[in-house]
Amino acid sequence: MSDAKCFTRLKASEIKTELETLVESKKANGTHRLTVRRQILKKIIANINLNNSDMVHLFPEVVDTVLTEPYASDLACKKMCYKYFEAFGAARPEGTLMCLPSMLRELTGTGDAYARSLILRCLAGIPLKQVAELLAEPIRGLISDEDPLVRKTACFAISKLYDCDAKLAARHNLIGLLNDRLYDENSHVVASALASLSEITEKNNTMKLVVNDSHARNLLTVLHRCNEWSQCYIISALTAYVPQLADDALFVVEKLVPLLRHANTAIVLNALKCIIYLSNYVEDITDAMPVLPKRLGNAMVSLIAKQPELQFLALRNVILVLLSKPHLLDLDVKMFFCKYDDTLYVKDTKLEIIYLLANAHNLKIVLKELEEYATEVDVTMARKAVRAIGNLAIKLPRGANACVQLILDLVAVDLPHITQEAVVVFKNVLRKYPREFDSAIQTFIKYTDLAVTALPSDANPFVNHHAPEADPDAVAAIVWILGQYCATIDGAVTILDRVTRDFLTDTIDVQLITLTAVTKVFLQLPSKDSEALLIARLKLATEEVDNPDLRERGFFYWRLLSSFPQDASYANAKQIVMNKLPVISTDSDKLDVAILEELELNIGTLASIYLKPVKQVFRLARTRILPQSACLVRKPRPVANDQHDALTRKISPINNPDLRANLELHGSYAGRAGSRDDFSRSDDDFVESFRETSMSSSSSLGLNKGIAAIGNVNRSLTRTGSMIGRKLTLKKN
Amino acid sequence: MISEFFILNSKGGLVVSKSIKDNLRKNLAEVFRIQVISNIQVGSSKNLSPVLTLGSTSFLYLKYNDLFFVAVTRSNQDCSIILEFMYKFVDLLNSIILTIKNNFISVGEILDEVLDNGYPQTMEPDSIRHCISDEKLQKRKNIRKNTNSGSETVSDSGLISRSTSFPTEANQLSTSDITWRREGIKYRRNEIFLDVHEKINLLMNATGQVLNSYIDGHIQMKTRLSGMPICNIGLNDSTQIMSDMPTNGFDDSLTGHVTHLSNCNFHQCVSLTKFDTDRIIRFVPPDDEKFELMSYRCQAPLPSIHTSQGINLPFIVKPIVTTSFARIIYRIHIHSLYSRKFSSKNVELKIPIPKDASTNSRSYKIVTSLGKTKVMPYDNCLIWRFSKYGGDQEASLEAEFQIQSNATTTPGNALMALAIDQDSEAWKKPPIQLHFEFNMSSLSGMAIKFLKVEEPTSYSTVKWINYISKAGSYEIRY
Repeated sequence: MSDAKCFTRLKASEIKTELETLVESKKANGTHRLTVRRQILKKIIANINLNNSDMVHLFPEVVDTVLTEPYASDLACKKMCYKYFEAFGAARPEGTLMCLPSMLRELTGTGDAYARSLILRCLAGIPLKQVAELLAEPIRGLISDEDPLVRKTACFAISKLYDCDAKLAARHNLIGLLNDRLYDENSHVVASALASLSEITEKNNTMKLVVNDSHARNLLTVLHRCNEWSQCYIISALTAYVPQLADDALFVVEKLVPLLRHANTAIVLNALKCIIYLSNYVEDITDAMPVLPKRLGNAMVSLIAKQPELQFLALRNVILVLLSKPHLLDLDVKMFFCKYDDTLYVKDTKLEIIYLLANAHNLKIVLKELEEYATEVDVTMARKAVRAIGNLAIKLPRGANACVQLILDLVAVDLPHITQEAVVVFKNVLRKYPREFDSAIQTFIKYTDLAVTALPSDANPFVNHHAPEADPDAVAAIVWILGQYCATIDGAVTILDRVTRDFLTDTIDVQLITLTAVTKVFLQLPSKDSEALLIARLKLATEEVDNPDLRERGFFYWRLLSSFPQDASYANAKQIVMNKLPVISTDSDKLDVAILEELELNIGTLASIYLKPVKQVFRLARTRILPQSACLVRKPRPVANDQHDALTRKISPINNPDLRANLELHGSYAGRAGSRDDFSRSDDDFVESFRETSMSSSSSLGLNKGIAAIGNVNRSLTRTGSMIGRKLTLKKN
Repeated sequence: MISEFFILNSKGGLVVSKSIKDNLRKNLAEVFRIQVISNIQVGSSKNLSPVLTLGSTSFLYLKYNDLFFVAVTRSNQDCSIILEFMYKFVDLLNSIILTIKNNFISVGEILDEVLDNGYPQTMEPDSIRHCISDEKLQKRKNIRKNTNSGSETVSDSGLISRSTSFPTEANQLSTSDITWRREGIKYRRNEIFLDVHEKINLLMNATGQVLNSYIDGHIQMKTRLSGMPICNIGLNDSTQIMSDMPTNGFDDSLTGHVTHLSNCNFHQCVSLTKFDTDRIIRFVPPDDEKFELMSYRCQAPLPSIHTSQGINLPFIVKPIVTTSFARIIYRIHIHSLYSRKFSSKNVELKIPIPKDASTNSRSYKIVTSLGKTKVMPYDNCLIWRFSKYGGDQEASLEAEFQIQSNATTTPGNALMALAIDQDSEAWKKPPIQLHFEFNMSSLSGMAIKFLKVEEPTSYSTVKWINYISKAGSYEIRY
């Protein structure tokens, strides 16, 4: 009978009848009975797999099977019964306790090691305090059993018992027993004890796993005598070793380096974790081991040939190391070029790495590759590529020209999504290099229509029904450029008028930027047209708009411009509105040092995928810190008070929306929220930060480092103001 | 580590479940079904990250043959161990039971065996095989009379006697120093099968310039050796592991005299320290089990057409694809650059054509100088095939397709046709793919220099060594 037949949802009563007929049938001989009994148990197990909780009613029958011959000595039957106990033992304590004595007898007997380890696994897996109590005594004997398999199982059993009843574990000093196993002669037992201890210490903040010098050396020799998983546990535990001398750290690193050639990803990543960790205790590890960066780099590249999930994990960790210790990773950017059939999440991550690896030397090939992605038909990928090019312009001042040239070439292709993204990044480029690309502005203005309205040509029947919504970020960027650089643009006023024609239906960001832009244009190019435009927009903002922030912004400009009637050239207003802009940089890609330090200790874990502090992702997780030692090179900085700010800053240049982490906290929108709430401040400060914030809301890079701080200070003040405004509006309605 | 493990079928039905930590809610499989599987069915599968965290519970999953293997964890666990475990688990299942489907009870049994408290344990097929009670489902290994294990007593009902006895041998194995091989194996004829597989991956642009190229190599092995043999493999002289010699060796790579393995990874049976010091691959092989001894990667030196050593570029393809007036025209030229002494098998170009190109045999024209062509309307591609392709040989193809525009024909202008092209729904312009195979040669020049078996009884061994080179993703953009 194949398993498929067992996989039907059954009621407990049906199985009961089946068992009864078996008992009653007289002709069946022993062998037949056993086969049928096994078949019935199989059905029960299949139903446990199907999450059928009705099976719990069969407890007496299963207990009966375990206690009567010949089933009791049949391994297959036993195994299935044990599985049943693991599933339902906790729900039926009295039944479990009934068969405990016989199981314990066998457990402590001198029978087969495999059978005993099975019982131990099963019993420890039942989360019942009574069972744990009865097990606590025999486990003392089992953990020093003759057979390594039993010892190994006992190690994990202690961890389970600790889970079930921590006090009991303390009373019987089970942790001490585990500690003794760290010097076991069998390497698998050592590894299991370490794994168990790591798990226990992870949950308990008062305990700490410490590996001393001699033990670390011992572990390193044991390492070559066990299988891959045991190696993982041992390497991972080596992060608990705190070297007191740089030479000790180097010694361990040297022993770990060959492991980077292992085929198992977990071993490679754990070795990487350990090496990166130990490098903190050596003054300059690349001096002592010049080959290390190459070896680490090669190891990471070899992981790219793995299955997509493992690739993704490896790539995220490459980002992590590139952010924290780039000098330890020697990589060729070409290895990270996307393949056509890479999954989207792999492509995204590769793009981030390409961005991080780009430098003056490889810029040429990087740009060539990014150009390929940008002209790809996949719109999201193309957008990200364009954004990456723009961000590179900001990151590499010497390559800015080449990047801008490429952006201009791409814009010339005449595709709306590229143009829109290009405008957004070009605006950032202008912020960074205010006077350098004036000539390029003209080119961009030529493509204004493409950038602003998805495609205006009504005649084109092909595009009309797919017409994408105009991208508000792109519109905002164009409006900002028009306002800021109106003096160098021919017909700026007319274009601005056209672009902001739909003022009332634009998004709030665009509306706010529009108001500033028309004011700037008026101040720089005072003329009838610009005045008319200014008045028209301000009128709309103050009379037709319900949003209090926007209305107030409109009134602010009214007041500003009308407060000095004697000053015909508006010198004061100009000074306020056209104030020098703060310089932007890509520094905010970098994570806080303290966070990176913590993440380094978590290479290969889930937190390394999210690149966020462990506590932020997993509330209950224990935070790891770099332990102090005489040879620790960089003294760990205490975590700053403005941790919130640091945590919420965006991490990567190309934010990966597909990581469905549900982690996106409201905090990361702090900059955006600020732009609406910043309200009543001294005028200078206000205009300054307003420009800043409205800029930042559209920038994908975390270019808003400064603002967050400003925003935080003033939020408390401003929020009350706008709340009142909102209430008033509501009342009016 | 892992708090719960389950396997779901493609519709989200639970087939195997194992709960390890009891503090989890019971309906996690349901949560996963709603969050992931239903989304995949909607079609956004490509966008999903392989890790999903909800609250502090994370789901790590992979899809294999319509089955979802899902590991659930609480808190921040080692993702690398879990993902690697899941892949190993799938491999293990494939190597010891006949089919995963319909054998879910055995799958659950194996799962119980390899996970203790959520931590992966020994996963050697040899030691796990003994733990499955239902023998019939196992892949039959060649029947071997175990001289030393007395556990198998022959009785009239073989099945039962087998199951009531305990697999003592297995448990010794799982805690021994070498978990992948037991003692006392005997063969009358000692054999080693060794295959070197190489795949060249390359990306070329329309002008024949190589953007990126590398070779992925694998050495696969199967041994049938008696006793506890130690194998030693040496690679050819030119093989040097570049990574250990910083920068100075880099100049050689340009001249192309040396084949560089830019990195390599080994099976767990290989002594990594030995390789690090002596460059000898030293190992005790698993018995009668196909395994991947080593994988390596050769970074191509600057690919130029005329180098005779190092990585040769076997083929160069120059496509010209033009679109105009609702027609798409391909002019493709292929040239083999290897020596005339060689020939390549199964050369096949897969040329993508737009979805809306008419595949009606009347509406396209194809002219080739060599080889056969076939239009595959369902795959949206044109296949150009050569059963054998000699060295230094050229061939060309010209093809023209009509593009059926479902919109009413507007005054023909080139821009309009372009607009259709670039409409993301119309055609993604995938690269042209080239497939080929070379027998008995390695593109990287890698060769096994020696293969020695050390065993106290010093028997003679028959060695079968085979080299196969293939195209991996040999892509040409246009």
